[in-house]
Amino acid sequence: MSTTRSPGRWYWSLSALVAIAAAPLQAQTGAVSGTVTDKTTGLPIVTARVQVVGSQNAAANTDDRGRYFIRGVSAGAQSLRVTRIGFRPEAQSATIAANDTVTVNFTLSTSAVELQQVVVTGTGGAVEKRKVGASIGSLDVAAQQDIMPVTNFTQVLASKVAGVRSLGVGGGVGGSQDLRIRGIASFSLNQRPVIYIDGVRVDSRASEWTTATGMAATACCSFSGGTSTDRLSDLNPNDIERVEILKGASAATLYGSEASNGVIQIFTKKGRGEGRTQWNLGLGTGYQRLKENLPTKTFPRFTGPDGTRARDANTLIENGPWNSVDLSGQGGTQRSQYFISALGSKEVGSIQPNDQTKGSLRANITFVPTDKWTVEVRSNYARNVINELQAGNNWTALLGNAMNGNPRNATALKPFGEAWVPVSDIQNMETKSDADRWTGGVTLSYAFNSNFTHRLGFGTDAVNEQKSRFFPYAGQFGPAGVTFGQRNLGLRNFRSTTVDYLSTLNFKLPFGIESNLSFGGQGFWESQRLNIAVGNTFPGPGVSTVAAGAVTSGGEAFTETINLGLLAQDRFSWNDRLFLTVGLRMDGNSAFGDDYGFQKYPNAQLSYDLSKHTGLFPEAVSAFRLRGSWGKTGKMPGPFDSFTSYSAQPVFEDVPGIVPLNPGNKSLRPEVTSEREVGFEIGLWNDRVGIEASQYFAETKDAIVNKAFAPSQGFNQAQRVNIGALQNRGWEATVNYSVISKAAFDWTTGIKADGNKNKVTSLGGVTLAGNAVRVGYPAQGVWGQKPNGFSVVQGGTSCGGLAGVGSFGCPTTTRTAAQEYFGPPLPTFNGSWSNTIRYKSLSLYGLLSMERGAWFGNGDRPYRIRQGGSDEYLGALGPNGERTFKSDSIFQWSSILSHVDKRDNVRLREISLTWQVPEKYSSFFKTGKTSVSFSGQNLQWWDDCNCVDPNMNWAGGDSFTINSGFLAQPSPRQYRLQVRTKF
Amino acid sequence: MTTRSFFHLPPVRGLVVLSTAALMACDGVFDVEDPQAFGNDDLNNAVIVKNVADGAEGLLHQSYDDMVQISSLLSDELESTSTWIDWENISDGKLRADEATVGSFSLPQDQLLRSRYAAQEAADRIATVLGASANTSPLMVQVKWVDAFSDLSIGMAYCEGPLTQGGPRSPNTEFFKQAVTKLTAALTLANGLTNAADKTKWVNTITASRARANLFAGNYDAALTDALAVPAGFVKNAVYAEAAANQQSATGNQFHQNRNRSGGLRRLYHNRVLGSFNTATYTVGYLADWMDATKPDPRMAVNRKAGELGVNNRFAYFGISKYADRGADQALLTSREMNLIAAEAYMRRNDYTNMVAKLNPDRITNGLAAIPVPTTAAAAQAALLGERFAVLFVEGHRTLDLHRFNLVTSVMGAGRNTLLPLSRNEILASPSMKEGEGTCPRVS
Repeated sequence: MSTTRSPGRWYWSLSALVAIAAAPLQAQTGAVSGTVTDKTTGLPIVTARVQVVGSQNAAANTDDRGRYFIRGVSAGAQSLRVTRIGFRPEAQSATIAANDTVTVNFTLSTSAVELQQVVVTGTGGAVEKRKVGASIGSLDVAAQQDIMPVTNFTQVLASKVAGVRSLGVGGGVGGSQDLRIRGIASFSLNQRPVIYIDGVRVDSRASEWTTATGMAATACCSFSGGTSTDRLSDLNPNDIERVEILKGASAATLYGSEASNGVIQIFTKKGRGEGRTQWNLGLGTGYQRLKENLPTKTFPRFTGPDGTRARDANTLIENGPWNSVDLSGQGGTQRSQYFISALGSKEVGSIQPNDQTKGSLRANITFVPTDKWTVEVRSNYARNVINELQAGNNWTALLGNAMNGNPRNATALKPFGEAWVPVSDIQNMETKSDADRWTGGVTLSYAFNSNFTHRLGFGTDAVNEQKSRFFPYAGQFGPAGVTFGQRNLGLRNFRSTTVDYLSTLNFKLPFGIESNLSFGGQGFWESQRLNIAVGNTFPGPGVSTVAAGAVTSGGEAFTETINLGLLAQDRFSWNDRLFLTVGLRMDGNSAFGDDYGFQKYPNAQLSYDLSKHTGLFPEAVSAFRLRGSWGKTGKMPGPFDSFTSYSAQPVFEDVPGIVPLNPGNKSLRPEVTSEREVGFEIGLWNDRVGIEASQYFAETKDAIVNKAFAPSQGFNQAQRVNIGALQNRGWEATVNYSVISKAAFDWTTGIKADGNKNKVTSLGGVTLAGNAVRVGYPAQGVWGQKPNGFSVVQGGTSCGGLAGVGSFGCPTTTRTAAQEYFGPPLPTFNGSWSNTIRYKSLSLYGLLSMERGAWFGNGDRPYRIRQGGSDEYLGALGPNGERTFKSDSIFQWSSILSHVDKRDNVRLREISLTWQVPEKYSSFFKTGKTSVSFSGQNLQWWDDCNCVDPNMNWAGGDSFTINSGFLAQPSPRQYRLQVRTKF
Repeated sequence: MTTRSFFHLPPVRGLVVLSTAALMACDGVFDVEDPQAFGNDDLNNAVIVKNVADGAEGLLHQSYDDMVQISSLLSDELESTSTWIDWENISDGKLRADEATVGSFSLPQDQLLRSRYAAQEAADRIATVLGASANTSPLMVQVKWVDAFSDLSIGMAYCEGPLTQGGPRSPNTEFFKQAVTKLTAALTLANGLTNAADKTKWVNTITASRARANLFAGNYDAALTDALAVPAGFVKNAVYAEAAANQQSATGNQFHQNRNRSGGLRRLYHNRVLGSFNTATYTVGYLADWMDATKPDPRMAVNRKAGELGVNNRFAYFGISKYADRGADQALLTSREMNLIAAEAYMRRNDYTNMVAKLNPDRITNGLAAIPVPTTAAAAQAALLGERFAVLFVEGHRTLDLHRFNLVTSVMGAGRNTLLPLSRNEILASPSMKEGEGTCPRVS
């Protein structure tokens, strides 16, 4: 029911303040209201943006019934324009009478083409996509969340935008996943795209940091085994309205020295505009469960030396419940709008102990004190507590121990024949990540007039993360270096402050050319302080602090980076159909060497909207745009890579020593990626079919090579030198088709596909150790020795390390002397196919994805076999467990070869069934639009990887381990029930 | 809307002015400081330079246990009980100069070369900071010894390496010669030290080092002279601590039951272990005396829990008791080794009487029967090597002993490397070497 409610005392106070500020300007105005509905179905369109053309503040979003109301519209003839992702924009004229309300209703047609969608990231101000020459990906996250609740931002993007890959699972709940855009743009620097939230550069760390404090050996690879926590999981996905993605250098030039990996900008929701507060309540429940495909099903056939029957690791799999509640409110007046939200959720892993409890509070407030000024204030606090799963390349990996043991060694204490540490002891460990985070900012916008605007933004992301690990006194943790308990405590303080200023000026030039000039600057200061304390060897059970350890130690590390950039860009338009953009960014950065100055990044874009030519195409072609772009962007070195430095470290027994560390490089500069891209968009049959395709070629020069000094020449670290080069060549295609659109039934389908080939083209004459980076091959390519011969050896006393030779002889595989190339670490082809089918109030959505071409070092497979475990080996033994020709063959082969397998897979990634509760029922509960959805994620996959999950990666979000999977955690199946209602 | 020319527009002019001002104002804005490391100039300081010298020696200590770890795996002392393929390769004696991966065998040479570099750079810095007094400073003696001892250690395990920074490869025999030269120069400096305690410490250390270098270089008379000059009871240890990674001992980490159990006593000798073991706790046992298989030799202790396998889950595990934790110190030089060096020098002169006179005191101290004077060269060699095996058990000498006396095939079987090959990292990064380089190790 749409009834007026009292907004509360604070609301009126706020409005009064705004009214006082705005009072002198309120004269001769009227209001406009109406509804926005779907032309075919007649259903209301939610969150459509209705705007009075030429007035940036006279705008409102539609509510759940498609209604809008705009107050304070200047009297006289006005043009109103309504936009919504997935629909063709519409405009209508209306005459506004002073002190009166005019009704203007809109009906929008669905559109599979996004050319008229407005984007702002990297474009020098808000602009329609059709005017931008580079490809900008976008995703309506709010709409996605309605049908498919996800808890982690990286899942939001998975298989939704061509060219963007979410890959590499490794840990349990809260564990990190890597994100990649258009392949690998560096072979020595982090490859995760830079993330902005509402213009504020934020922490997106997904790799471990406890090893960066000089205390590596105390924690093996990390507290939890390398996967670490993903700071993107701090975000409340329900706060996100949409995401814009700059995929390549030609689009991301204005982001300068940190954008080679692409830029992702997250826009959170804003106030709705005039009208009562719209509350949105979400209740979710469900569970996750691992696929029971762990290769230990044969274990119960065996008993250990004390008669214990071995346990199958699949018996550790449990249902991990998930419960979530989120509440948000959107409302305001013409002069003040707000969005507030709160989230509380708990998700438990399928292998326990492992859970994530998080909460967040957000307030986004917009003030419009005058027609010229707009003030946006955003504040978000998040608390994210994760009981991390022990996984990864780690002595205390829980599943690692259960899966990599030998069932014939099973004992009462080690029923899985655990490889190193008893599972029961690992389950008594406590590994926690506890993060407090505040992200906020202020944006001041001033419109001198509609053609000359200024925007000044300031924001900070502050993360305080505490990680801890506790080994109880009594456990058998010897292999992990712990005999009588240990406590590790790590603190990470991260601060990133962003300041940016942008001015836009529109003016006319001769020959019908219009110019849109943008200029300004952007800077950020990022600092990170890491501390770790270790207490080893407790005097007895019952204590758990660092100070209680007999041996205590600590570590500390600090880094900071300062970047300042100036930018200018001009977009020239000719007859609203041909658009030429030229731009330049200049950056100075504290990470550049002393002898290096400013880096310049130019770009140029061309876009031609051919559909503006009437009669050029058959009637079926409703839109056609050609585009091309070229641009450069960079990737800065590590904060102190340019410094020649000597490390202070204790030697002997706690004596201070100083040793050569980093040779430094005074000429160190950013890696520079230049990219050229061409593409087109076609709309057919009134935009019912939308086709978008792009082809790109990106070349990174000055790529930083870790040029190792010969050990005889001293420095422990390699020198970072800008002498390398690599290429990414690829294509992306998207087809969206509104197959049927009727009042009672509609069906939309979409296919996204992309391909990428990556190649290292130069290492400046340097040969790097190992094969991960070799000229002529993909960065992080997968190499290994291959079998090259087989014979049966009758003599000898051992067979691949097994005692004696069976009567059948010793099957002996030989291997190549050198490592040989298998393939790239990332898929060369990614595809996804989504379908949404609605019948009356029921909607069925599904997403199927495919990956092909990627390989990985399957370290688990031979390791398990060498341990005498794994179904593959145990299944080849005789009925009484005796060695056979086949089992010896498998064993010997695995004792000399590291297995390499393909990651190719087809995955049923998402499926959901949503019921829009009819109003007659929802009104019974006094609620508005209400939906109930049942969804599943990652329900099934098909692969040939000889592994439990082809996307496994032992260090999760670490950029440099994507080519191997070892002791990693597979991704679970997730089942969720969600109720969303508005009131 | 305006139609004024682009560059006359106030905003554009403003942008130009703003940009210029911003660029000018940037001077100093990008200055950041790394608080956890020193810059090059920071170290040219009379207070800090001592830590530079200690840093160089610390690197040597950290390198030496790595050398002991890997060369013991190649020898008949230890065997890989890990699941690491590159450890298996070392343990099986299957290594090539063009190995497919960098492999664990490269690390000790890399580390020893880095400690040599650190010592040489420290010597230059000490000369700069202390000026004329540098050559009478114990710091200079310390780093000169580190420089020489790094060479000596490389020669003990590797068949090749670079004699100079970024230089071409040379056989290990040249390393021994170079070590002798460097140690002789260092000894001259040590003898010039004014502080008596410093002088005694460094003269003994350098003399003992030169005794070993001379022995391996084939200068037996010089080795004897040096060995006899080292006083009884002399010990120079590599010192480790449990606290942080760069102070810990790799041997304690990998070979003891409390830790990784990645390497244990080679199966060849499992049947020579005397002791009774149970399944509940670890018990210490001993390898039998080489001369009397019924007598446990306390110099070669192992620990075992009945039925326990190495982490490879393949065969019985016997841990090495000598290095009980990651803080266990490691012998670099001892007067006991000097007795062995003197004994070998006597043996080379066929003076078996004096040879056993040098070998027997250690046996008697450990409750073992004295060795009778050998009557044949073979018996003398067996006695010498038996004692070297026992006294220097898992101290990094055995690989070279088997190589020097050409015993790899007879002790361990044919087709094995006798020494470790040149570091892959040195081959790939040295300006004087190229991929495919490396002609050894010799295969038995």
